[in-house]
Amino acid sequence: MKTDDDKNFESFLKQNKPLVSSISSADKSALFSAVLAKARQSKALKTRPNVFLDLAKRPMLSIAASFIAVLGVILFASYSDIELDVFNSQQTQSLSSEETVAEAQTIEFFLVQSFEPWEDSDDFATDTLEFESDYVAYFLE
Amino acid sequence: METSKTNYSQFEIEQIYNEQLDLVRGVLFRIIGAQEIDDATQEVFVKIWRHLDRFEKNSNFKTWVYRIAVNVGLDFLRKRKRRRELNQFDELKTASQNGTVKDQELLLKALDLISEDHRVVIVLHYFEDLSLNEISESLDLPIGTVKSRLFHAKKVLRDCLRQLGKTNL
Repeated sequence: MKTDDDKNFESFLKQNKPLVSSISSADKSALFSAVLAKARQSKALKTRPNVFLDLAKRPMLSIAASFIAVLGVILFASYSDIELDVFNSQQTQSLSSEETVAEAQTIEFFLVQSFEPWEDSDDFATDTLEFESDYVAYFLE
Repeated sequence: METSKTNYSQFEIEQIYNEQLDLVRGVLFRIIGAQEIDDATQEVFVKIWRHLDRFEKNSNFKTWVYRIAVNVGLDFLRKRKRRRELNQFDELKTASQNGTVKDQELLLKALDLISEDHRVVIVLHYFEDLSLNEISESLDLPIGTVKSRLFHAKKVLRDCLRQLGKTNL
């Protein structure tokens, strides 16, 4: 049970709470830089570079990055057009030649042959068994 | 040799700094005063980042920060090798009786005259508004010890203030 004296004293404490002077934003930033330097010096901190934050804080860098990105898109688009033109012209040429069509059919035949399922073959089963026994033997050694 | 596992982006670190700076400076000011407060603040944040990976996510981040700030504050006090000379007390008493020192300043100086343990519980309970449970968690002390320490701290501080001329307390 609190006495009146206790209440009086507690209210004195709360009313006279020592207040620290506020810190300006410049001092706050300077203190943060000092803290970072100290942390890095004592190896307490390893920071990852935050590219997006860095860009946001540096407008010129941000503009340069945007310019490079736009230039990249333009170059890619023009290159794709060139590629497409070349492809179209080649396709037109190949379609016009009956020999080339025949050649393409031959290639397609070999491709289909080579992709036929070969796992069912006896050779595959034998090879797999041999491999597994070698593998087990290696670990048993 | 201690190696750090922490690897945070500068953005994350700045966020913690911005959120906790006022709390850290406030508690340090009430423990060590304005002198060396910037050095102590730096020390607190270095310790926060050094041990951030050890912070348990289910505990209270605020009380964890308080614990670090209080420990750093106490370290600074110990290093300072305070001299509680009698004439210092007398000067303060005269200033209080003449009314040249405000109650707020007098209270801060009186806190400097009592023991560190008593000062810390007064600061955390009355100035930082921490509950007894939060103080117990921050200082890693049983709640009974916190209650008893707070009781004695109030008595010692009140006696000190009375001796300094605040007879109405």
